[in-house]
Amino acid sequence: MSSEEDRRALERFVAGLPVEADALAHGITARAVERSIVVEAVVNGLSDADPVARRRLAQRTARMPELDPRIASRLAVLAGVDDDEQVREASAEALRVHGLELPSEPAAGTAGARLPRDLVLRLRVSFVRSEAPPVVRAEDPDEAPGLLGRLHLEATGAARLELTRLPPAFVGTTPTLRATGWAGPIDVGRADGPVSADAAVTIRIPATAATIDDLVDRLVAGAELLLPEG
Amino acid sequence: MKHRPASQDSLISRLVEEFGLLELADRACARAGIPGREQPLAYCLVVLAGKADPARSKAGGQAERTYRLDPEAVDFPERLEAWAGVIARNLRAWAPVYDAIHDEADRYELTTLRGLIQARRFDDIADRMALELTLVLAGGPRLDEMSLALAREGAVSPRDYVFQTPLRRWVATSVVRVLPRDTDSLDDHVEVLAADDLVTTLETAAEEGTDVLAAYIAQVAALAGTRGLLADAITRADAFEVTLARLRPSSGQDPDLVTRIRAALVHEADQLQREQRAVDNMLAYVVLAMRVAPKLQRVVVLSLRLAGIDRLAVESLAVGMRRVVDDERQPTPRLVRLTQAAAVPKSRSKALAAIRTGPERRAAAMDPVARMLDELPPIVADLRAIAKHEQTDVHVVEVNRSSAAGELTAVDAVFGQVFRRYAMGRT
Repeated sequence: MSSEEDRRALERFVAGLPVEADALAHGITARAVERSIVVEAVVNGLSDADPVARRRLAQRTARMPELDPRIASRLAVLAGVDDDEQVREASAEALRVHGLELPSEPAAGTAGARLPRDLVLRLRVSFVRSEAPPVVRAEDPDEAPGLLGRLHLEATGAARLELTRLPPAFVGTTPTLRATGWAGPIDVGRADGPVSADAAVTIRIPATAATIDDLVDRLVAGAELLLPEG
Repeated sequence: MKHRPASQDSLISRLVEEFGLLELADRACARAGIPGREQPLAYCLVVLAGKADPARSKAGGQAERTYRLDPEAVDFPERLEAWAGVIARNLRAWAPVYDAIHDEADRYELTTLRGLIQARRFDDIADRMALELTLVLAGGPRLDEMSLALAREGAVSPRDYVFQTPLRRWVATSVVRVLPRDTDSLDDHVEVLAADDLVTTLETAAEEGTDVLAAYIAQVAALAGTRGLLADAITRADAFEVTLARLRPSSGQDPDLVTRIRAALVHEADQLQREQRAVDNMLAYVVLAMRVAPKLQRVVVLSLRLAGIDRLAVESLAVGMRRVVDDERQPTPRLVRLTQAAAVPKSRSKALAAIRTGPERRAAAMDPVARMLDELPPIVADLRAIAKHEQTDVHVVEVNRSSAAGELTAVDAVFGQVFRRYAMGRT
């Protein structure tokens, strides 16, 4: 199947026309493969040892109509901590152009940036099939496009929530998972390390007196990811 | 004489004042038939003259410098003129390809780069293409940014590509320097291209590239179980994870790479669904809000009728726009809210409000729009055809189209994405 056929299949689908399933699947996959290659290339360029290359790539991301979260995450890191001032400025400007939050300047003598305390991301936990791990998405997709999480339940009664494609503002933080449904809000888990540069993190949920089913029910009723106080 | 790199600014001043750089660029562009490329050519010459130029081993065993652009040398003017000619010929042959790679990368597309790929092995194609794209994107500014002013800023790298050699050869050589284990297979395939061979070479390379990448995509699609993905993205992604976990190293797959692609699969599926849901309101905005800017509106409508768009999609969009004229559900409250909140001219909100005052006023307001939609040609060949129909020039059409994309994005980012999917990236 040619790239032209892929493109036409997707154009028809968006226009609301019926599209043969294999053609649509192939078109989606082709776009996904190309997207991942381009993202890899841009992230590579933003990680280049040459500051001219980093600045050049940062400047061109400002021209992109849409910014992939992995690229945004990398820009956020560069804007905060790159050695080259022009790279920092170009990265910050690219984030501004895309209406994204800039990382705060790190306080003197501290490692990592301080972020707003009111940074909260509401989550939606749901079951797709009874035998599959519960799936986690952003309650408002516009807040975290593409965010995807899986809640893996362990035999010990503990659990872990693996999240990818978090908003750039979370990069470098160690967020807390809070259940917000019935019986009042309660913190149930904490990141086992800082959110990585490509916006992924694992939240560890220790075993408690409550059953796993209780935990899942609480999270399905309401969940959010937030930065800890202090 | 060994060339000592001077400061960029003093080098430029010397090239312009002492060696007539601008006049030389004019002559070279005129001879190559590429008017309007004088600034990029001058930029390329400046960067080339400033490159380190150590002696390298050549065929026959002798070591030679490649560029030999020494301002102190007696033959410098002749060598500068000669390199201007080389750069001009490569600009003529490769500028469209270079531009296309940059433009497409902005849209996360690789159509042109796929025609340049050198990979012969199936399992490294994605990484190879990512490397090649990195080299091009990081290897120089966009052509429309190349100028002496940019050169004076000093934002150049010793690795920069400045059309000193055909782009395909430069990519292949650069890849070899990064991945030296491939030296024997790639150097044998590098050749000097005349401009007339370009099309044939690209077509051949495209066939080879398409074969490899198409096979890769088919295998990833099977691995992802993307059949019916849009029906339940999460379910299919689950199946994909299970299949991924069963991969054996001997399968020749790269699980890490496929895992990265999985995130892109979910994103693409999600994005398509958003766009499909947004089409009706996007078309309603074009028909109802943009009617107060009729010239802009006509360019937008015609841009959605370009011949390069799938014919059935064009017809569906045209039917959708025509339906909006009489659809009293439009504008929806959401569209009105989005428009009021957007950084767009206030006339757009007023246009929507005026239609909601009653059926008679709506009919009167929409009558000219209905006539416009019915009278515009159902298909237009390209931007030039749009310009001719609107009795303007292509540049004006391009500006209007970009302006429309920006306005639609300001109202709703997905509106802009839908418009760009169909109407942008096409000439």
